[in-house]
Amino acid sequence: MPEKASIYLHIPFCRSKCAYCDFPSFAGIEELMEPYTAALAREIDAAAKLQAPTVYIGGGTPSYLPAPLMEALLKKVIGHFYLEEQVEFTIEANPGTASESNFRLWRRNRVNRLSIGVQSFNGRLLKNIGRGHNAADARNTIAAARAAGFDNLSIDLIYGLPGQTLSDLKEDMRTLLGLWPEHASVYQLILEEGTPLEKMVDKGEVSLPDDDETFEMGEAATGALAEAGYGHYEISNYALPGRECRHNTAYWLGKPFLGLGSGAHSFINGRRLANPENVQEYIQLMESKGSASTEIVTDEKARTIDYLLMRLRLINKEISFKEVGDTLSVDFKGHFNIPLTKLQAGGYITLTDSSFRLSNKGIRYLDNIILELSKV
Amino acid sequence: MENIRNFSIIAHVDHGKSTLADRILDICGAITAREKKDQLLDNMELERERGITIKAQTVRLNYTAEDGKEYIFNLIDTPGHVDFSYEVSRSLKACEGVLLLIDASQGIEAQTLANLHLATEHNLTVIPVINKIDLPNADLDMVKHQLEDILCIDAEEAILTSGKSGIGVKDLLEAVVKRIPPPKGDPAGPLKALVLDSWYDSYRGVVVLARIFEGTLTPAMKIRFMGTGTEYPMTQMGIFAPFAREVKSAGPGEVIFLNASIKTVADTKVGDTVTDAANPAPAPLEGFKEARPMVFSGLYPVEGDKYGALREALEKLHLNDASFEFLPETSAALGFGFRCGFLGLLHMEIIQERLEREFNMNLITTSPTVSYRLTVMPGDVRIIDNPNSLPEHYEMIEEPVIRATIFTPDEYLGPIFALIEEKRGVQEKLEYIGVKRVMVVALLPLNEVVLDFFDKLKTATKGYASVDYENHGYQPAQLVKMDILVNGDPIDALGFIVHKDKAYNFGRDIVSKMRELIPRQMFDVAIQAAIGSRVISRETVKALRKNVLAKCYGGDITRKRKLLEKQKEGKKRMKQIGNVEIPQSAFLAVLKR
Repeated sequence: MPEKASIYLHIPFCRSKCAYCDFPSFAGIEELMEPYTAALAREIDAAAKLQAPTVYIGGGTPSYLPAPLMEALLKKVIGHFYLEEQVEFTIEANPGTASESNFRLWRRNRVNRLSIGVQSFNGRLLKNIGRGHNAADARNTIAAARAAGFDNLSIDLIYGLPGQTLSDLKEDMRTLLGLWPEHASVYQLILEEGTPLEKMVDKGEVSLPDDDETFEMGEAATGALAEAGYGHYEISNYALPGRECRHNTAYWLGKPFLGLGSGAHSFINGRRLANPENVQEYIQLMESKGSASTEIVTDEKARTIDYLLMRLRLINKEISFKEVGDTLSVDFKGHFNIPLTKLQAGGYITLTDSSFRLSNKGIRYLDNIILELSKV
Repeated sequence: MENIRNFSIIAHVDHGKSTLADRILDICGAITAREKKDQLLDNMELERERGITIKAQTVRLNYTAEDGKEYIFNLIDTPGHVDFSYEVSRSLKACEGVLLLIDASQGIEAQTLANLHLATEHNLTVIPVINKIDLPNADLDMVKHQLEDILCIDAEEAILTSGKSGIGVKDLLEAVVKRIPPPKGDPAGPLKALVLDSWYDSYRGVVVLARIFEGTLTPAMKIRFMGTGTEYPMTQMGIFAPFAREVKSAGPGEVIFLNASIKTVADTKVGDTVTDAANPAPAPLEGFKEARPMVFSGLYPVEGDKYGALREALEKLHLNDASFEFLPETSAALGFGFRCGFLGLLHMEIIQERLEREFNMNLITTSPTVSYRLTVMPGDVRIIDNPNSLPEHYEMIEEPVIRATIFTPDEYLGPIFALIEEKRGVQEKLEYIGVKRVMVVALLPLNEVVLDFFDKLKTATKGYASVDYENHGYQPAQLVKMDILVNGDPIDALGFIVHKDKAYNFGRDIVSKMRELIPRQMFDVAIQAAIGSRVISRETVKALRKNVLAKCYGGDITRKRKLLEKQKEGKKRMKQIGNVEIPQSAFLAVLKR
């Protein structure tokens, strides 16, 4: 019986780098696409032949990879790992980077879910953040995906964008709901250190909506999605019943996963491994050593916190002490008794003898809860 | 003794004292080129950088005059800043004459006048010196007029010099020989030597600088400090010429250093009289008024665990500067620290800078305050130097007042009057001292001065005004204690005493600044300025609507963990006031004003 783990593959290439992005993705290194996919193929070959309940190709912009390279990669994945029959196989696609024929090719190779990085349907806002597409591209790409037969689509939106108002966000939500995606991820913009957007904000070239307005946007998004029947199952994720993203849920539940490609992380047999973010370094390591990963050594305390900060993101799923105990081999209730009692008193969680769950207030202040728990 | 001349150079800051001293040293051949450092007398790194003298130095020189005789000059340096006027006065005690230095382009400034007053108080011979005469904008006529009109000195007596090029310096030294009287005193009498200064030297231990008035000192003596009554066997004595050189005896008029087995500088009081334990003088010399701290502030280490290091640093500095005081103090906002007393603002800045530079301390300094005289009830009069020790009930509070003398071009009179008014000052006198130059004398409450008076004066006069001040006792005032509260808890570090009429604006400024700086919490935070139970200003930091990271990127949990660590680190730098977390930077920004 092969070992079971989700598979993540990273494609670090983008047509252009978005102003807010600090992920390991790069524009202008297209010449590395071939050697990179070759290196990735090598890493797949060297990996254990795992049983995969989910596969996820993320980036970067996977859809920016030329069709022949993607086809070869997909075939490699299918050929190497044991994909479960009900596998959830997702590729991230950005509007304007893939056509219906691409989608058909992917579908023929067991891909059954797309996550489309729309971010906004408002051309003015997209321009503000340096996105290389417009609202029409987004609609066309979604239409092409449907035409190619995809019946499991997720749309990504960001709110709190520079220049965005509450009514802009509401308009975006209306457009999204009109497209009936099975799943939606609605993220609040994070102004990351060292990004071009941070500089633009510092210089006063653009301004972000204030905390209160941004908060209202989040509430409006959740409200609109709830009304349309989407369940709010993770801080930033919503799905029609049964369409929750199984791959990401595996991360949040602390299940094992194998990450391949530059910047990818793995969590296998309780060990955390990371590949270098630098694409050339990754290729070189794969060519010279046949392996690129290094272990991130963690102590028990860090493992506990890691688990909690992932697990608590599944905001509606009650956490049983038995579940935590089995995963971490700690007496959770005993160990965290003081902060749990304090959080209960503060109205952040509801506590029973065998479990606890986040309150509505707790969902809003999740970081404070984790800080409180990590004091122990 | 007939050949000894003891003198100081007194001058307004920047009038060229140190350069002239260097030139005199050159002419007397005191130092070789290899030993020479520019402005030799300013030793401390900080003194060099700021171009001011803090600790008095002294140097013995040999000069062969035109009459063919060899003379011994003791050049006793004086500090140039108002905060250290007590040290000037100390140096003058050791002299029979002074060189009153005036910049030929600047003319008379505030400290010129203050220094001259000190010199005449000590009955010293004054030789007026107009320096920097080779500057293109030198105005000899103006300065000569000022000499006669303001200082009542015959302009004919002035020696014209340039310390930079050496013009006139030889004439000056001849004037020293001819005009300044030699010291008096009986070499055979019982020993009387005045302690001018003392400091700790890591090689020699405690070094005492003294001027002998009567008798003869030898290294074999056992000496007695007449004020403290303590006795020590001598170990060594010598002169600075300018480097330390041992001597075997010294008589009246000489300025020497001595080492005895003295443990700490605190055992030697400046102004005390040293005598021979075996043959003591019947009465000591007249000492000095002790310098009392005028300005107070709390010093706290930014990192709480550096408290011990700060205490050690303060103790070390105190070895060489007994004029500042420090006492442990605890603040809920800032942790453990010290309440320190300084002679003035510059003194405070210098101590802070030395702590930061020489001891690598990272400090938070609370706003400077002054000491108030409080009559709690008839017969119970206290001096308080910490706003937080003001009791709830008292009969009268008095604030210290200074008399400031300001010299300024008359075009800035308007802004100066406005500033004096703003600072609750009262103008005493206004006098033209030249065509366009004015002297303004005003009484000002010190607590207004310590805040930003000098900065504002500088701005108002584009730096053209000079100022000197002296203490002028206490006067009753309408003062109130203002508290800054967050969610009802007072922040001790921000409590202050302020005039009733200014309380509202002060309170409002601080409250609005705090509002900007306190991060949003899980609940509303009220910031109030209050006098007693009366709230005069209030603002609210609205509760944080949420605190949750939007995106958890794929499998890379290290990103999330790093963010968490950052939040935790941020928390560490927070101070807990009641249930409100306030970043240390907020206190800093408010205190820095």
